[in-house]
Amino acid sequence: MHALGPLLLGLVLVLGSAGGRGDPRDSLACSQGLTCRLLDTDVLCGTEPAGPRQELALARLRLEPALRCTEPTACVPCLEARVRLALPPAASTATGSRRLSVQPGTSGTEDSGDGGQRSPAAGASTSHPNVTGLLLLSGLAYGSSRCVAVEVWAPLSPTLRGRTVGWVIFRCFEAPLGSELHISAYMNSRGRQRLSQQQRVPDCSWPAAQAAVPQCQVPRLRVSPGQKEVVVEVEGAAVGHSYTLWLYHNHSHGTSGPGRVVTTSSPMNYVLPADEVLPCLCLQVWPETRDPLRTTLCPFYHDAEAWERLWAQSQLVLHVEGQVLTCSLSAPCDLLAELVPCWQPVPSGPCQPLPGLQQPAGGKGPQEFGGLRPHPNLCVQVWSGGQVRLTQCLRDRALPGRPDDLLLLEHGGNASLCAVERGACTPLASFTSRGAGHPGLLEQDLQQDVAVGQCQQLWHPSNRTGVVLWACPLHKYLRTHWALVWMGVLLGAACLLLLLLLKKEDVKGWLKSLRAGYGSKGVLQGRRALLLHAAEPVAERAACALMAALQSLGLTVVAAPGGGSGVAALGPLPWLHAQHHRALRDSDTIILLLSPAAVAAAQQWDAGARVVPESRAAESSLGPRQNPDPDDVPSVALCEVFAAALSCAMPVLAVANGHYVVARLEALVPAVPPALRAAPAFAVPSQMEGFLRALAGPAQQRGRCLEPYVAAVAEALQRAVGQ
Amino acid sequence: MRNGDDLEGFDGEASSASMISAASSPYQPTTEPVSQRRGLGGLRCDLDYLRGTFGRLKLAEVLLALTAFICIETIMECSPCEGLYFFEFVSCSALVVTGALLLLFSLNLHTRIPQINWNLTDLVNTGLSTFFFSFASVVLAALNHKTGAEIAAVVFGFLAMAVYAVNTFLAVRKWQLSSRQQSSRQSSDYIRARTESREVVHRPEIQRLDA
Repeated sequence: MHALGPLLLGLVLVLGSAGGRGDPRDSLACSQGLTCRLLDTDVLCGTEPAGPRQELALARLRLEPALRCTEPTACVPCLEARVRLALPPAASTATGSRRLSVQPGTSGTEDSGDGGQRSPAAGASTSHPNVTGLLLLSGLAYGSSRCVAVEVWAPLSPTLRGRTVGWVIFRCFEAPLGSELHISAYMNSRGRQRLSQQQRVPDCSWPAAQAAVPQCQVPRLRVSPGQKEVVVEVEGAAVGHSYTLWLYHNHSHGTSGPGRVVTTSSPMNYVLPADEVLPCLCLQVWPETRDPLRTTLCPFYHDAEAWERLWAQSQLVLHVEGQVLTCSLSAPCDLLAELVPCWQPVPSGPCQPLPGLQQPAGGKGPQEFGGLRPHPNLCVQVWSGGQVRLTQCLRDRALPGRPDDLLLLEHGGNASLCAVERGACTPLASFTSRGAGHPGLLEQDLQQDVAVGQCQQLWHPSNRTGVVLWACPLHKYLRTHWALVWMGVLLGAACLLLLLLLKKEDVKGWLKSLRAGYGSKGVLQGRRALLLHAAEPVAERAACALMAALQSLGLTVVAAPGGGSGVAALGPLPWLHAQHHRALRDSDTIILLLSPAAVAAAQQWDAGARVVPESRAAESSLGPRQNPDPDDVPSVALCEVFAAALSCAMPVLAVANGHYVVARLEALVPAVPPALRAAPAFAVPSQMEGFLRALAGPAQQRGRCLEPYVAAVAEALQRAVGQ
Repeated sequence: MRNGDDLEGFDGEASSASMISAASSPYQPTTEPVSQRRGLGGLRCDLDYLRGTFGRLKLAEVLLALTAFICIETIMECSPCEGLYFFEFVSCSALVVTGALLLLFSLNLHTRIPQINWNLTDLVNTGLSTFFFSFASVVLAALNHKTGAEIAAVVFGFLAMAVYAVNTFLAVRKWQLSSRQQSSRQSSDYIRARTESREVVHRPEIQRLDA
């Protein structure tokens, strides 16, 4: 068949001229004995005029792949239609014999032999009448159709009756690479005989197309892996055509992302860093033509390092919603893995896989782990290739259950329980908690717990005979050791009590020092005063009370003693003067307690007048004016001590050098004598606060603490004076 | 009032011969005989007490309570645990209190704290311990009797109860005896003081002062 083609073309007598519209590259050829002419390459089939009754008959239609080239490298594949025409037998027998009627071409070996032999003989007889016919060829492709009209003449010779007249070869019908083309041929004679055949236009697997059709020229990819990078070589691009290289991840839910696209027009090497290489990384390259063919290469599918990298980039996320556990395994590529739940009683310990509970990991989104209830000790492992790749635990979530729960496995058949621990399932009869103790002690209690419902059911099997998992609380059987703490407390208390009882005196002394120490932090702590008073009973009582009260506030008070009369009264004078001098030297406060006798003594210094009986009598509020009352004499005599003390005080008062404070017993003394007005005076007990403040001195912060003591001191003084 | 026995043990440090007058005189030496034996920090071990009945009983009680406590502490798991905790508490408290009392009595520290009636304290302790040990041992025997440690604790609990019971009985008897003795001594002191005061009236030096 293929050998006949070039032979027939070599014997062509009349070359069909291209007529009418259509592709100027269409060509028509007939074998010897036939004359044909291309009428129109693009007619509307069915509109041809009807011809006479069947004169020429169609014997066979054959389609051959061919190439139509504009340039040697710019060819387009197409199908060539070859129609074999034959003359029906003689008119009388023509109706009877249908030998050469519609025969769709099957094997062309006999026909080709006939056609080859007939041709030389047909050329001799031109004197016979001709038979003409209109041959119509229609080519139907997806989206396009074309009808070609060919006029044929064949000489009518009786020898040709019932034999093949010749071949008509039309070149060609075009269609896209690899598409189906439906070609039919028929004559316009009355007895409509139609031959049709359907054939696929050759695609790039046809060797003749690979060299000539530009769309079949795809660049080749070569991948050379390295340690840190992978080099992709693109070679064989057609000159003048640019091509595109596309890197993408190929997985079941579509190719992910835009990948990386490189467009260039010369052969090039693309360098890919090694940490981007994943098993599902694919490379595609195609030329920049219309409907190009692509070369795809996925060279990393069996690369172990790429798989390691993929696992490093994949992530398992667990969600708990109520009693349902949802797992989602996300990875850049499709993973073939299984999700296996495991039990991890100790956070840093091994996680024991629970067989029979596994589920294959579905790549599309989160999947529910049906039948499994969440518990803090549960983890989910991802197994692939016989090893654990990922693990995710539920420990940090707020879930019902305790970390020290025990996992019990119940075989659905015989309802026997065993405890899952340390990689094996120990029967309850030989189970000890914490590894020590009496085996089987808790067997009955645990069985009762399971029966009563105190345990949490972690696995609900889908069928009745599956295993059931229970998480039973164990904390109520494990005892705590608070008794040791209690013993420590008892011992400590006993020691303390013993110590207190044995060292009684020391403790008492310590307590007393605490109390005294607290009291000594009084408001007037650290200050010293000298209390000068007259030697009369009321003054002495007042002085005693004041001294006691002031000492309780922390003031160190020294009081001038009284008692005696005459020379006996003068006895303590040297001491008094010494005290006075010391007080002045140390800047201590000197309190002048004014009682009636003291006022009388002070009046001696009034207006510089000394020992003037009249003036004394005149200014004294006690006793009559004119005569020095005998009652005055004892008062003057008793005040000699005070007067002697004042003799030290007056010059200092005049210069205002010392810290003098005058305290006037207001019940007995109406006014401060003029001589002593240089010093601040306070009427006690009504102006006790001011008096104490004056004693406290410039320390301002002490002033706030004086309030509680004022009342106490005033009351003590009132009681002493009132007696 | 001291009788002659105290004078015999007395080294004669702090009393002078002039103060010793006739046996019927109200002026008796008031000094304490000072002991020469000195222990660590003033403490000395009273071996007589330890060798005596009460000392031995106390030692036995302490040892039995300690053993029971140790037995119960070795148990790691229990069902139910309440009996165990109660027995633990009782044995621990009895151990500490009895041990403290033993220490006090054997080192004679109880004499330094005269405010507390130590005999009564001891009696109360032994009585309560008897009762509680019996109760706790019964409860433990009823609730937990499976493991060896539990059974051992029960046994030691009952033994301790028995020793405490004996101690209680003896302590009660001693207490009754001492209270009878004390009342009789008090009355005899009173009589002696009264007769001596009558004699004093006839003393010449006292008469001189009145003049």
